[in-house]
Amino acid sequence: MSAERIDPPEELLSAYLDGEATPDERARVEAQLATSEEWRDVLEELRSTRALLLASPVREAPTGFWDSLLHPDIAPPLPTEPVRSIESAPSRRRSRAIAWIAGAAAAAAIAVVVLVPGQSRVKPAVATLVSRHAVRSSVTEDPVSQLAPVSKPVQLGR
Amino acid sequence: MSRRIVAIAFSAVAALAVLVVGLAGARGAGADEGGEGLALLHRAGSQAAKLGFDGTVVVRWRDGSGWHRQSVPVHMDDGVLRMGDDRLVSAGARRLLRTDAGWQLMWAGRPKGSEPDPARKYRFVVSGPTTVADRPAVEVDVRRDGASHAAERLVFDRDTGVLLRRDQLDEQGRLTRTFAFVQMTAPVPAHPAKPGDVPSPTAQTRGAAPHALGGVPDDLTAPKEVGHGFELAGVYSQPDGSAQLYYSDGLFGLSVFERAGDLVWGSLPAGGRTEQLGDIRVRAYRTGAGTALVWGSDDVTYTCVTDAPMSEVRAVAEDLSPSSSDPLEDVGHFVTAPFSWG
Repeated sequence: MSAERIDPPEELLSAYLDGEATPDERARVEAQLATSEEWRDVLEELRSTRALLLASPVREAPTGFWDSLLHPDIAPPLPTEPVRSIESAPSRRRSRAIAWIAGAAAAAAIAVVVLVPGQSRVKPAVATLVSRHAVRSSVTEDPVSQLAPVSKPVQLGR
Repeated sequence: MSRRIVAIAFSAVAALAVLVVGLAGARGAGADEGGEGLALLHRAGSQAAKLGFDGTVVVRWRDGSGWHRQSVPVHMDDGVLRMGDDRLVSAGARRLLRTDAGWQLMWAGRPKGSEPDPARKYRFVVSGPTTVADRPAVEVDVRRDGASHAAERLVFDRDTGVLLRRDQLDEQGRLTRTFAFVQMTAPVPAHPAKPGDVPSPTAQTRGAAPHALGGVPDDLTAPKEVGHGFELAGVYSQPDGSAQLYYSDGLFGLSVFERAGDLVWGSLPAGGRTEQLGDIRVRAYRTGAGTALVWGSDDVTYTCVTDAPMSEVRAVAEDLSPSSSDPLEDVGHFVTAPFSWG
C-alpha cells in the first residue's frame, strides 16, 4: 500500500512566503517541507522568482500615459516616434538584424545552459541540517539539552 | 639523646605529611581532572531515561539582533522522552518527529564509532553547590587547558545526575547560549521492564533516517581529525543526498554536511550573515541549537553545524577548505546569485 502523495499547492506556498498563511496552514506547509523535497523545490522556485521580481527596476510611465488611458477625450496626445524619412529605412533594417542576432545569441546561451551537463547545484536546507545534527548529537550526548532547541521549528538568526 | 633525635625526626615527618596533605587538599578544591565533574558529564547522558518526570526547559541564545528565548515542555516516562508538545520523541537510540504525514524516523541505532575522552582537551572544575528549578545541584566549570575563561558551565542534579543547566560562553567569557530546566516535578524511577509507548513511523516517512556509511564517497573529503582535536566519529548518508561527517572533541559535537556541487548562494534562507573566516566566505546562522555555517569550495558545498564556540568552528572550516578563496569565483557567485534557479 503506497502512501498518498500531496502535490505542492503554489497558492498556499506563496501565502506562506508572504507571511499571509494562517497558523494551521503554516504548520501544514512546514510539515510537508520537512518531509518532501518536491515541496522544498517548489518553495525555492517561488522564492527565487519573487526575489527576481523584487529586484526588477521600476519604471515610471511616460508623462500623460495615465491621463490618456483614463481620459482619452481630454488628455494631450502621447509623444510618438518622429516620422522617419526614406533615408532612415536602411538603419531600421540594420537594427532589426541586430535584434535577430541578439535573439539568436540569447537562445544559444539558454540552450547551452539547459543542454550542456554541468556541475550540480546545491541548495542546502539549513534548518533541516541543524535538526539533523542535534538529533545525531542527542544519541551520544545528553538528549534533553540537545533536542530541546530543535523540538520546535528552527529559527535562523544572524 | 637518641630519644630526642627520634622525636625531632618524628616531628619533621609529621610536618611534611601535613604540608603534603594541605597542598593536595588545596589542589583538590579546584581542579577535578578525571574526577567528579567528568564523571557527572559521562553519567548525565543516560540518567534522564531512568526516571519519570515532567518539566519545562528554556533555551536562550544570542545573535546579531539580540537574545531569543524558546520554552519547551518535557515529559519523560519509562524511557520515552517527549518534547515540544509531543512533536519530538526520543526512545533509546530512536528519534521521531511528528509531521502531518505521520511520524518521521530521524534516527535509529547506536553509532558504532567511539568519541574522544574530553579530559584530553578540557579541565573539569567542580565550582560548588547551587540550585536549579528548586533542585539541589552541583556546578562544574569546563575550560580548555590554558584558557582564561570557561567554555561551558554545566549544572547536574545532585540526587539524580540529570543535566539541569548548560551555559555556553564565548572566548571573552560572555554567555552566548543557555539551556536550563525552569520547572521539574520530583523524579520517580522508571519501570525498565515496561518500556513506554513509542510511535511507529509511517511507510512514507520511514526512509527519512540517515544510514551509516562504511567509508567516505570519492568526491568528498573527511579528515580523521579537524580543528582543535575534533575526531571523526561517524559518516552517514542523509536522505537529501549529502554525507554527514560527525566529529566530536568529547564535549562538543560537530557535523559537516558535504554535498558535491556548487553552492547556490541565492537559495540560502534569510536571517544569516556573510562572514569571512580566513580565506573562506561563509554564511553564518545562529540558532538555539548552535551555529550553522555554509560555504562552497572546490565544487563541494559544506554546511557545518555545531554547538562549539566560534573559535573552534573557525579552525574546522579552515581545515576543510584551506584555500577556497578564488576572487573570480566569488565575483561569479555575486553576479549569478540572483539567477540561481538550478
